[in-house]
Amino acid sequence: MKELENKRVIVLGHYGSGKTNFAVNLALQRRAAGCEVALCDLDIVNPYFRSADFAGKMEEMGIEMVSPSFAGTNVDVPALTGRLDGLLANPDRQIIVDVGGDDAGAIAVGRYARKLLPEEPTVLYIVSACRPITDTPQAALEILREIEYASHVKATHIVNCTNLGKETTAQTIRGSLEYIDELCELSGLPLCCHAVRSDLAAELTDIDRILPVEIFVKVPWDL
Amino acid sequence: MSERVLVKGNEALAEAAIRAGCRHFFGYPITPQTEVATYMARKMPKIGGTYLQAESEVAAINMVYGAAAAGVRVMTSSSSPGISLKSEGISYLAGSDLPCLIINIQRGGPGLGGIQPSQADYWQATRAPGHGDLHLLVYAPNNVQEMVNLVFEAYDKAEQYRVPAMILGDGLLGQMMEPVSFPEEGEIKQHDKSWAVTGHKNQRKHNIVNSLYLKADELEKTVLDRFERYAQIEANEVMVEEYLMEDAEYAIVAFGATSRIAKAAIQQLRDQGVKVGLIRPITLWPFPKEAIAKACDKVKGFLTVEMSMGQMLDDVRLAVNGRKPVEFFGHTGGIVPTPAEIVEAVKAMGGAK
Repeated sequence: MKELENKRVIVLGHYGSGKTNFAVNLALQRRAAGCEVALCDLDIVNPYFRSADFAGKMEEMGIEMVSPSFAGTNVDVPALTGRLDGLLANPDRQIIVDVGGDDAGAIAVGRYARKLLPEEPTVLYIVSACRPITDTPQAALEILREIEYASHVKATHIVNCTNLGKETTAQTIRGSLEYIDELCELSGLPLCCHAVRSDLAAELTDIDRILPVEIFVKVPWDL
Repeated sequence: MSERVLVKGNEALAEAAIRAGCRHFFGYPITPQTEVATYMARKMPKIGGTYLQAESEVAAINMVYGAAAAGVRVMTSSSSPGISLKSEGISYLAGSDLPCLIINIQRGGPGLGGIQPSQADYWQATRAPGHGDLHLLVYAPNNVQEMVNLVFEAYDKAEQYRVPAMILGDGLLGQMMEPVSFPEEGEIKQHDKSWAVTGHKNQRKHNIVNSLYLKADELEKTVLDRFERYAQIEANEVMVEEYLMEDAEYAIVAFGATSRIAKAAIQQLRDQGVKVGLIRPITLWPFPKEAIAKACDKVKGFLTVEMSMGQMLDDVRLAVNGRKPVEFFGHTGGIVPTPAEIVEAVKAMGGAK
């Protein structure tokens, strides 16, 4: 999956599709591969369950974390920091941008589109077939078009993050394959990967492009 | 039931309302209930329903009043400060015997407070959701599937008794995602709505929906009649979950998201040999007084855990009526208690081995 080695990776999608968990995993995997990585939480719409929640873990692993100025506080305003501009001046650092959900969240990318586009970023459209608003490939495409319109960037790849939380089984992933194929065909975009919980990967070896991930986004009673 | 989907609590409330026949949503934006309105805005136009962002919470609740008076299923949703603004309209709905569904996804208060989760509107929901002698049916789900189920229950009971219903959630429940199944449409119980103002067509008497009474004795009689219905609700509609209470020596009382954290703490305590159970009120009004009174016979004490300074604590103490100690542990202002803190609080009651 060469596209994930691109120095600029933008993670977009419907809210609740699994963007943050995917972005955190990608940052950790790239770091483990020896890459200099920065993870940028560009989510200006979601007050809870966001990349900035993992700032401590990221710093510990040597990943630079960039968050909106007031992430995790009660200041409910979409204020971004200038640090992303600084990072974008460095062509060697890999930057993973975790964007807010839907067109409302994607609008924040528009601010950086002119800088990002000449660098030919990988733009990942994260989808889950188990989310009611994107329950058909047509509906997922409709959301993608709204996101592209708001963000001024076009998706380059699809990432299948289909899951049912704790109820996810290998069958959940298998059940999404037809949906993903159809979305790839409708959108004309190639599949980057199926991001699946690492313990399920062994049951899915017959499927190409499986990317095992850990679950980091949790509720307070998950110990 | 249809297939499993993964949804946020807020989305679950919206989709469940639609499937329960709600085609009218009036609201005003506020964090952390945003996804309820976002979902309604996306779905309602596609199914011939009305999504309307009003100019204020006050306007939205009065639109709810109008739709409810016409006998249709209607919903509004907000978070704590927004519910305060709606309280005048809520009182008018109660005073006019109108069924409707009001969602409160609580955040930290008082005042503008914060946007992190809270349960500090318990007093408001159960004591004074508006002025006057009144009650709302108040439901407190603790998981996303229950949020779906209680939407159906709330509409059903609101219409049966002609009382407004509230689902009292919190930011954590609203924002978290869990797999659920939605009931198919068509599983909706129908209630008599011959009182609705739908046009008499010169074929029946005028229906009047109103909360103003020109004579004191008429107003008193209306309130007394309404309180007879409240008594029926208290007798018949209490919902409560008891968890590991059979052999419990201590009882934690908690509702909503806090009860999930309490269950994690109970597991840890039981691993250490401390026999703890949970009494979880699902209806906050009517409050499960009997389940708590009954537990007095077997437990050494109660610990109420809330994301507030201790509000349901009052109702637990009233139900216990001095027979056993009732302690409190909580956080407020948007801080979520941890299982470890609850474990320590139970041990401090003398439960340590």
